[in-house]
Amino acid sequence: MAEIAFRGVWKVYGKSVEAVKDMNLQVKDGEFVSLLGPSGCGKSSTLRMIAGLEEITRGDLEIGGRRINEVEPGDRDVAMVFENYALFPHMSSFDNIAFPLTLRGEDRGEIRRKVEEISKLLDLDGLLKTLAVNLGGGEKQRVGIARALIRKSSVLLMDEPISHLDADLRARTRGELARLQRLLGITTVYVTHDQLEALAMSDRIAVMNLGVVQQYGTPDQLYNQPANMFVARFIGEPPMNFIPCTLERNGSGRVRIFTGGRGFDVELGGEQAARIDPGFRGGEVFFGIRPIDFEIAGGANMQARPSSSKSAVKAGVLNYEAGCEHSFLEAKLCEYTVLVECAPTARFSEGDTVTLEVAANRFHLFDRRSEASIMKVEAR
Amino acid sequence: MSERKIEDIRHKRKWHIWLVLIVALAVTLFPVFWTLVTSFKPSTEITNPTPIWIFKPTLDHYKSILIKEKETQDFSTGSQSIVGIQTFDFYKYLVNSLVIAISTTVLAMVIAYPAAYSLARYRTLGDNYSFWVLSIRMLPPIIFLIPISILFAIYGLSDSRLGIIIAYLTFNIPFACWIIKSFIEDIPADLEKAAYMDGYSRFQVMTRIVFPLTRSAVAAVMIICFIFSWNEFLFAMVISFIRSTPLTAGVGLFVTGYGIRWGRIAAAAVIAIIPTVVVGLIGQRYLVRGLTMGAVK
Repeated sequence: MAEIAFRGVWKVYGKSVEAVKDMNLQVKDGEFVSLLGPSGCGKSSTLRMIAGLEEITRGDLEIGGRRINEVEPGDRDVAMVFENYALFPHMSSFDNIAFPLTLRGEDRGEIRRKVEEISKLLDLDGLLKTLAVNLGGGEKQRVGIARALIRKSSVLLMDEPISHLDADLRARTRGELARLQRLLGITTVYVTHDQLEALAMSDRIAVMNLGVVQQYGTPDQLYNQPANMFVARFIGEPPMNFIPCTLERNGSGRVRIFTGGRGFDVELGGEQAARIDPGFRGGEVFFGIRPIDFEIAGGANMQARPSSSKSAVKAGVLNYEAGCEHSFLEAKLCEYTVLVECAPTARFSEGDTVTLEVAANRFHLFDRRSEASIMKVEAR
Repeated sequence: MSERKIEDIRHKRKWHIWLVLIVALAVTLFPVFWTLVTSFKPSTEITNPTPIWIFKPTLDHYKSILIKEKETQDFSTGSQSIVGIQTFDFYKYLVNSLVIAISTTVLAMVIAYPAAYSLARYRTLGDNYSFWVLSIRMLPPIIFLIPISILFAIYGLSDSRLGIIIAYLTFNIPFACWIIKSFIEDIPADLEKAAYMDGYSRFQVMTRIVFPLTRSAVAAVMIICFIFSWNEFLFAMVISFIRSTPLTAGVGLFVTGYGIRWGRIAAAAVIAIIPTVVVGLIGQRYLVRGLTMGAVK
């Protein structure tokens, strides 16, 4: 069993650079967890603490119930795939893959058998004699993964392993890595700044910013119930629109959300109002909506839906960007510009007025001061 | 049309480059050439006020320094030269030179490599320490001459090979350290971390991962250290008297109170050049590769 548990872990560089602050995180056995965040958010430091390449300033780190703060990297039963592959350029692919085993003095025949087995899995058969320095990017990366997997360690760490690959190779390897991880059932921590990678591969994702875990949950939770504006902005492409509004509750359980200017003033009742955390009494909020969650009423492609669960506002078209898969509409909603995703067949031109509708369960509200979500967390 | 123009320009540029190269080579190689010529010239013609280009070559100078039995024979100035020749023992000097140059080179590398690794990978003694190490090499050697010769006299290191080796190490270690440090810095740190994760110790990482990757730099630095030690004259002259005299200082003994034995100096110099040329030729590919690798990644 190889669960990883962070208990109040801090990483402080020098005297005051706090890379990771009070991290509490559990990775279950066999789980694929991504650490996702912009550069400098502490995700790599976190990974390197698990690897033993960075000292833990404070707190406890456990693997399989054993505290490993002071355990040497070589004794942690942890393997790692590096961003720049970290292959030994003066050795052949075979020697690189066999490296962790030769170091342990395993039997040569046994090593050969294991290397061949793992190379078959990663499609490296023909490359075993090639010097690492002569391999292409994708090949290097596969050799790096093979080297990490051959040890059959209980934890696999990956530090942006595919960020240097070409786009198509990256997409392919993404699937391959996820498949391999499920096949081997190895507990995996994966560092990336690419939300698409994280969403596609992970069982759970920890979104990090400024050394703090902003939210830890399944891809679905992060996308549909972002805990704060940072997560909302970071997950999803193109990013969520935010409109500064005021929220007012009236006596009958209805909620009114409106902007200072004219044009955006909706009243929510029943189902919609019930989604808002009753603890939030009212005040300044951000109304968040993803471009894909707008529906355009009166547009050529709109099918009618019961309007009771929708809030509609009028907006002027500023710019229309036609695409083959998605078209985007830049629209002026009061004084705010929002991005709206529409069907590729839709045609708009500058100056048109459209009615934008938002389905009841597709919008998000954030407290403007704390930037935390004020939506009720739905149990799933 | 345009291609021909480019071709023309290239030719022209090549022509200029050749001119510069020829002039540079003439300037740098002429002394070597003249030394070579002098070593085959009869003594009487060497110091002729107008340079003599055509002469009957002789091996006398070589014979007189290489063959001990014929030491006392001197064809030009008779008994006057005996003082110089009797004290000149070519083979002793050659052995001294080889022992000193090889030991210095090997020791410099053994000491400088771990130091360079430490400077490259840790903040050993602060950020500016590594530059301070190099700055030792920047000072003119004469500054070290006085304290070194006095201290050596006190500690009985004067006129010993060990003393000269220590003196040379003073210059070669900082140089080797600085160059190798910059090469180690070019090796991605993740490479080492990957090896730690597989269970290597710091020392094993240095010897088995980092060292093989800096082999060409090590070769280049060793060649330079060897040539420096082989060619050094000032310290050799001052610290050594009889036992530990290397070839460079030994040749100085031909400058006698009775005259300067140019022919023998030239012959000894020509022989002394051979090891550096050999080392240079063997190490040429390392030198070229090694020195460019550090500059351009």
